[in-house]
Amino acid sequence: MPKISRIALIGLGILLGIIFLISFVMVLRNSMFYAALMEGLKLPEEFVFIGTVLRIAPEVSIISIILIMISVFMKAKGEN
Amino acid sequence: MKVTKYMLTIVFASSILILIILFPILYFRYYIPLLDKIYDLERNLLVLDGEVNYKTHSILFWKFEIPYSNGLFYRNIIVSFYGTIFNALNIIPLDPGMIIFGTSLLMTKSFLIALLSLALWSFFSHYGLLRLRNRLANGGRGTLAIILDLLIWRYSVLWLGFMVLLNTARRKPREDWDIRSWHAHPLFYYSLVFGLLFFSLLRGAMSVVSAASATPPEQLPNLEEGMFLYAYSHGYNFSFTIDTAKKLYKMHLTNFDEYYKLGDVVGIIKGAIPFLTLAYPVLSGLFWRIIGTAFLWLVFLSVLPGRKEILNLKRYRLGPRLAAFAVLIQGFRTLSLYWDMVFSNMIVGYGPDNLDLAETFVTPMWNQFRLRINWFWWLAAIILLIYVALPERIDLVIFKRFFPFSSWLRRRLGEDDFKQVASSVSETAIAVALLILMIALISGYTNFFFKPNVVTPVQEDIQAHPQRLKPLYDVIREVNRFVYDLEDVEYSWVSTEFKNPSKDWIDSNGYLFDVMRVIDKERAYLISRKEIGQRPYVVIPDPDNPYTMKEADADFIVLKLGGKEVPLWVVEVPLKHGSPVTNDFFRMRQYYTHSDVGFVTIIAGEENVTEAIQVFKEKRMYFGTSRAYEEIKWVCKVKGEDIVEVGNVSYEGKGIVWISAPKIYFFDHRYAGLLLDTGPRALRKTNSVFYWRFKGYERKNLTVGLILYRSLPERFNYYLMPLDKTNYDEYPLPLNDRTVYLMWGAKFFDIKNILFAIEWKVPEDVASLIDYPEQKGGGRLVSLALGDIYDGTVEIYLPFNDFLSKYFKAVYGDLVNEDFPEELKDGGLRYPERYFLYRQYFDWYLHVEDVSTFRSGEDFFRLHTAPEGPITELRYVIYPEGFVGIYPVGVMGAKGPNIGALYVISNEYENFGSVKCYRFPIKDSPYLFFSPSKAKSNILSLPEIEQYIRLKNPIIGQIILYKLNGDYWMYVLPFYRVGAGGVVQIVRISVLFAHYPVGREVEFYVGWGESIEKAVLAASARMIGIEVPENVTKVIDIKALVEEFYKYKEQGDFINAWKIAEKIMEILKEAERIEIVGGG
Repeated sequence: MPKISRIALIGLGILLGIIFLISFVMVLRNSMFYAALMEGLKLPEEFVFIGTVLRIAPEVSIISIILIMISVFMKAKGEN
Repeated sequence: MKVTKYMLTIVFASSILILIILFPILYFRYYIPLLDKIYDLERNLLVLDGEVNYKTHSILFWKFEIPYSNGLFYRNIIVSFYGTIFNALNIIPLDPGMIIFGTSLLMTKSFLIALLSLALWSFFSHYGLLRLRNRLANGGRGTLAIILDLLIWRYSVLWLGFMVLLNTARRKPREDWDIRSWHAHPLFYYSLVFGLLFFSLLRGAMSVVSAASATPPEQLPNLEEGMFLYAYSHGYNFSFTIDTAKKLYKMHLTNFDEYYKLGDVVGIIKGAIPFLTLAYPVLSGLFWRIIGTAFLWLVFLSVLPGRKEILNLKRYRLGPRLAAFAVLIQGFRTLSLYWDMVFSNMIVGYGPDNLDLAETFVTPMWNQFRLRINWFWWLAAIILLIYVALPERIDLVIFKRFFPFSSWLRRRLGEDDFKQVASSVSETAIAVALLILMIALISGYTNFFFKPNVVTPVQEDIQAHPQRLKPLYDVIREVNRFVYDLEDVEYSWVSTEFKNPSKDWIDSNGYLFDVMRVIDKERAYLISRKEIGQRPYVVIPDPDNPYTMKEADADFIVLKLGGKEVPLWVVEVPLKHGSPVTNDFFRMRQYYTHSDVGFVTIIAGEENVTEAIQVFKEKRMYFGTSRAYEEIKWVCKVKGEDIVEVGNVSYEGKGIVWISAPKIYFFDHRYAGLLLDTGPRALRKTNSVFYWRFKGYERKNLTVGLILYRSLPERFNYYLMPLDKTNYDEYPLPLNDRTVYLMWGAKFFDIKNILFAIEWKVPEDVASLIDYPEQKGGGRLVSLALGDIYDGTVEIYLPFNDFLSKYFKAVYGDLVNEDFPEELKDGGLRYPERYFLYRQYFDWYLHVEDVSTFRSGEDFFRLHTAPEGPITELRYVIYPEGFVGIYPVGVMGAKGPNIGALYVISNEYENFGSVKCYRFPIKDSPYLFFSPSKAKSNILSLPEIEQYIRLKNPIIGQIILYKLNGDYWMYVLPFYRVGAGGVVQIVRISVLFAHYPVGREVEFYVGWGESIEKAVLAASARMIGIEVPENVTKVIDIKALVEEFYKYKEQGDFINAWKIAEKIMEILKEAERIEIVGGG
């Protein structure tokens, strides 16, 4: 593999990594945020659980980014 | 002849095909006629009106006559079949061939064309794609080859075994062990798939048939799935579009930037509820099964090394793209786990304060693992991810450093093998370490970063501006008010401005006094006891004996008789239930087939109930609702013998099953259908009554007629099976010349996919009250049924119009009535008690509109506590609004024993089921209102009443809160006495105005007398502004004295306070001496 494309791939991997990190942090932040709000409501103990999200969640994007990132790095490593 | 692979394929495939061809013969030749017969039997027993017709179908060269009917029970069987077919889809993996086949069958509706397109695809995949795949794999392009593998998709373990056997037979043992050689021949593979599909249908059909022949209605399988498929194919609109899905997706928390900008989400959620509750639970199971099956294969294919790779001992690594893809798919599966993990622990109440490793992540995660079996997927995804990502060099370095025996291993294994083993061991170790690290990292990170930066500022902000939670709370409240059927509840505060009552006021309430419920349930039983007399075969309800109280039931209903509304107590007189243990039982009771008393009725407003009137023209009760009718299957006729039943009658209704002597020995009512023609093939239980009853009669060649399925609720469930079997709240009604039981059917739905829907933990003392299936949640009243007590016919009505009722109408609508019964429109309806209590319980919390009030928890309602326990029943009474049911509750924030609210449900046809919640002030008001228990103790603590009770020992009735014209609320507590001859007489009635001036709890407006008018007059006299009735000899107002007493007491002047107290005591002593007639 030419050196230039290897560098480009590493760059792409790093970029995707940063995107992943940011979105991961955002999701965690949002969930913490939401938890703080729910705590603020001071729900009575009879409320066992409030369903918040549909089972399809935006983590699809996060997971796909992390995987694409890995695949890019692997490609750059030239193993396959 | 030489056995070739091709020949064996042909033989195997054709034998499977022959089986498939045989299947319809087995199926339609034996099972459909059996179904037909059982249907016929059920029609006879259940007195269904549906007609059996036959429809001719042809598939290829098969011609079938399939029986069908427009009966309700038959519709249940069809629905169950739909569900069976739906579930059979589970066995089809994500196979392009099957999808092509199914799609072309649906599009062209031609079996031949569908088969042709499948053959075409098989040819193309086998001779085109498979060869291409092999070429790619041999050329080292394993990644692409695996993708093609997925497209070709004809893996079969059976095929692999078959090949191994074949090669062994051909003495060619070097079989290709590569998993990629599991591609079966299309002929082989598709005949296998069709075989499996058809036989799963057969299995389903068998279970439907066997269930249909047995009594318990819940035995029909797959009703939920069947209802979904049936409703969908018959035009039920789930009103779910891609647009709705997008909105749902967008609304959730990643867009939750500012908590005061939640947006208009309630409408979207409410619109999606039919889909999320009725379709999604059914579909998601199938969806995940198909996806899961497909990608399980993918994981196998990706992870396991190929033959060449093993031979070369070359370390096998996945193509990264494919690995990424595989993990992505696993990621889908882990999503729900992830979200549950993140949210469950935070919302359930651990809160960010406890966000540490142990409590926040590990425990809930473990719980999730335990609850779902997803952990495998989750773990596999992570390990695979690490496996793919880990550079080989790192493995070896770690391994060498931490495992000193590595040199020994290296010598032992050789360099190449050692590398192989070392890397896999270290990978596992690192995977586990990374997993733990990840958990630690996330929890540590959230604690150290988010807590100070996100959580604390939000908490502080909420502390300062609690109203910012309003949008979020509004969404939760609105969504759950819809889910728990509370949208139409009206709230109103009761007035606290009281005008002084006058005599006109008493007159204006005269009609209410006439119909007051001054006889309670237990007294109604006492009265009925006298009427029933000593009949051995009926249950005589005894208030002191809980067993008989369960058997019989007393209901308060309002009927229109002769153009006038008449409130009645109806006491049912059911058959006695008992276990047949002595011969005496049969000797004494063998011809008691029914209760001929039926019902005893008592007019509610009568002061002196001396005789019961009969409003039910049909009194012969062959079918009923008590336990006896579930268990006693009785003979009503014997051919060739004259049998006279109780009351010299003989049953002339429908639904008699004739069974002749030899079969009677083996008789079990559930298998009666199978016995009729085919002999005793279902000899499972022979402990039936009839075995004993007719033993020894075989020489007489006896034929007996039976009436079966005598429980009306059981029949109701037979007709409308998907209903939830909770409480039917049945009560008897006269309809022209008939007598029917009115039964209510409710359906509860799954709420776990609805955003912001609350799952509840219902406290134990309430749980017994509300009859609520916790695993389901939201509910709707769907159906009512009228069951005839004489011949057991059940008419079904679906009179409501919510989304769940429409769902039922899509499935059963063409066979049932869709409006209220005409006869009940002017009286006779009564809202089901248990279902209403269920609804109002959730309103205890969800009525709170203001978020700050909600947070304080002060405005939540609670059970009224009283010495004799909480009020456990809805009381049906007549209010100025008409016939209603009432339920009083307390409020958390109340300082004293005050009533907090009164739920009032309307039973009138015009606004049937509308709920009013009257709120009583608990502070900031000149008047407060006593709770029922406080009111009762107030009345009973009145000296003259206390004395009366001591002397006469009357029976104290139920205390009930009445709303009167003129904004007055009044408690009524009657006293009874059982006189000579069992006459139950109302001896005194006491009343208490519910309100009292704040700070003067000892001053209450109570009165009593021989009639309600006298009592009310006396109570009114306690309030100022009404002339003193003549029969009260002397009225002394001690209010001023009491006030003076408190004034001195507050000033600390105890000497003067004592003097005043002495004066009060003197007056009270005098009051004990004088005769008190009207009160005061």
